[in-house]
Amino acid sequence: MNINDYREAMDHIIPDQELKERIMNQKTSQRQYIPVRRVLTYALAAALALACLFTVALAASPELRMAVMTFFHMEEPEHLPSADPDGAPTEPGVSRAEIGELVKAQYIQMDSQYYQYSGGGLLRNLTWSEDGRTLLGAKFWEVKDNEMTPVEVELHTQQMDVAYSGVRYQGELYWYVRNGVLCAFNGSPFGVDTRPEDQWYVTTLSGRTDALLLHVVQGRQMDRTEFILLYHLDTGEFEDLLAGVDPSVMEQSDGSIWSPSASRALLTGRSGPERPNGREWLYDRESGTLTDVKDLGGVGADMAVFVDDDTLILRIYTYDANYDLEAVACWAYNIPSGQAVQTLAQSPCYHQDKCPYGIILFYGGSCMEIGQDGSACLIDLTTGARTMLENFTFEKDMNFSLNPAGTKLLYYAMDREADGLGITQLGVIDLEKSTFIAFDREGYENLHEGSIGWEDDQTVSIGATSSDGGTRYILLYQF
Amino acid sequence: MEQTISARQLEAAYDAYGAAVYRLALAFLGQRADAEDVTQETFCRLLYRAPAFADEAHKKRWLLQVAANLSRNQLRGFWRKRVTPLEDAVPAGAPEEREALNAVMALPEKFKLPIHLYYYEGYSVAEVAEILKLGQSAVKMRLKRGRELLKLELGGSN
Repeated sequence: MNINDYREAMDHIIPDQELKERIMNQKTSQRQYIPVRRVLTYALAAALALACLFTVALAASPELRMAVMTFFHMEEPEHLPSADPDGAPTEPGVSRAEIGELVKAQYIQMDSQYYQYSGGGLLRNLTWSEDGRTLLGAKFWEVKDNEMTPVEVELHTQQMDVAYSGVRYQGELYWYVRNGVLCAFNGSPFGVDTRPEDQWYVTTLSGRTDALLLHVVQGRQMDRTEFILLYHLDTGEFEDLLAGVDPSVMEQSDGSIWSPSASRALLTGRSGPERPNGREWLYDRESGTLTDVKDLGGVGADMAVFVDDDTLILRIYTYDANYDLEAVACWAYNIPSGQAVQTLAQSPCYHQDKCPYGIILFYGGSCMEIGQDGSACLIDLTTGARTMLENFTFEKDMNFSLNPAGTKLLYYAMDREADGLGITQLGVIDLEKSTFIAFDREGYENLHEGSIGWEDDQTVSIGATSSDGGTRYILLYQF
Repeated sequence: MEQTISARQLEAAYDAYGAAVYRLALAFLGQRADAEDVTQETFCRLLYRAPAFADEAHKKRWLLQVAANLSRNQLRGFWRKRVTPLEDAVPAGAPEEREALNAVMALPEKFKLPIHLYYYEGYSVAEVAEILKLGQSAVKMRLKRGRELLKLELGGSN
């Protein structure tokens, strides 16, 4: 038995004469032929669309009925670039791939320079003075087709000199706006006249190009306190966002997390003997009110997570004897009305070694429940609605990561034998479109992949080097 | 929709390549009805969307490329996944022929078409890569892996 048997068997296969007649009839017919199955498929698709609407309506009802999202394992794998045996190239190299017509990938092979993703779709290469405080050179590139095209950006510079709570902060701030996105960075941000731990850094606000958040830090570890200033780029004015907060609370707080419009914040507090899980307060800037998260909705929550300006997910944790998270329960809390609705009953938390099933939490309005059989179910913690991931079985080395907007969930599986992350499969769950696609990666064994994550709400990046460490890569993916 | 070729050209194309298109679809889908649908749709594309072909070989590659894409799409249809992939759709022949056919049809999806195009149609690796829109290294890898699997399926004989 050999391949000739296959050839001979195939030779015996002849399509029916009727098929030729069908095909020739479509030539002479005024109507274009549409296969019956396709018509049935369209009809079925239309029926399914209606059924989906019906399912959504059902999901909103108290008697929840589970929706289904089908995992689409793309047939076409990704073929990763292989390193140049001569070492790092003299010029950066770019290649592109379209994987299964659904995912766009860009592979940036670096030369001896160091390039970073810079926001607004650009790469940057910055040269700093020896003390790291002064920018000596900044180059930006747009990755287009198979080339890195140098681009000029209108780079603004501001010499920062801010005194806050007895500490003077200095340094240079740089920013530019590209494609409607504000991108900002700064030099070594040490407080000049004070301790080196008194640092400052900036973060941007989603959708705003006129202002950013300036974080000024004092102390470290148990003494760390962080204050937030809204810095107006056009006027150079600062606005102290925590000016109305009780100073005794600020003494206990080590940081803050802001709602999308910066109208509200969660102040995080250090843990102590009485509150081993730490403490949190909800601060409303407009009213100036400060509320212990434990008091919100009568739930007694340990912590809260913003979904939007008006919605929090409240969580209650249970720990085991080793202080590993054992179980969690969640409530959706509407801030204006003060109403809390339980959306997740107390459930065990997934733990790679201790508990191979249970809840995987993301920072946002959703989580995933892994069944004992490896089944996976997404839970919308604002409504409690569940979506079963069909055709997908969770395994130990699979991971998920939510994008900053909370709209997409990065999925990747890792080869534990690999040198580095060894990402064998990569994909995204689009929570808005209810799609879950992933593809296999061929050639990951030839790279040492060191990092993976979202660069922005649409772009996933993987940082990698060749096995010999001689060539560095940025691998960018848009789903 | 405007037709791009004449009835005579369509018939000539079907007579020359209809069986090849049908066999490729059958090898991939394993069901006669599906293979017929894909064949009909492929020639429908030829009728209405045919590009200019450099020669007859180019035309055949294009038809097989369209058939391969349509077969993949057919297989992705959600209802299609719920039926058994293998069907008694092939004429009776020698037992070893049937076994060989079943072995190729039972391969994982990504190996079937490279094996079929390379070993049955006689295309080179480069041509298989062009038809399936794959890199040549991927085609080589799939042929190698497909051969390994076939050896297993065919009881180690070659």
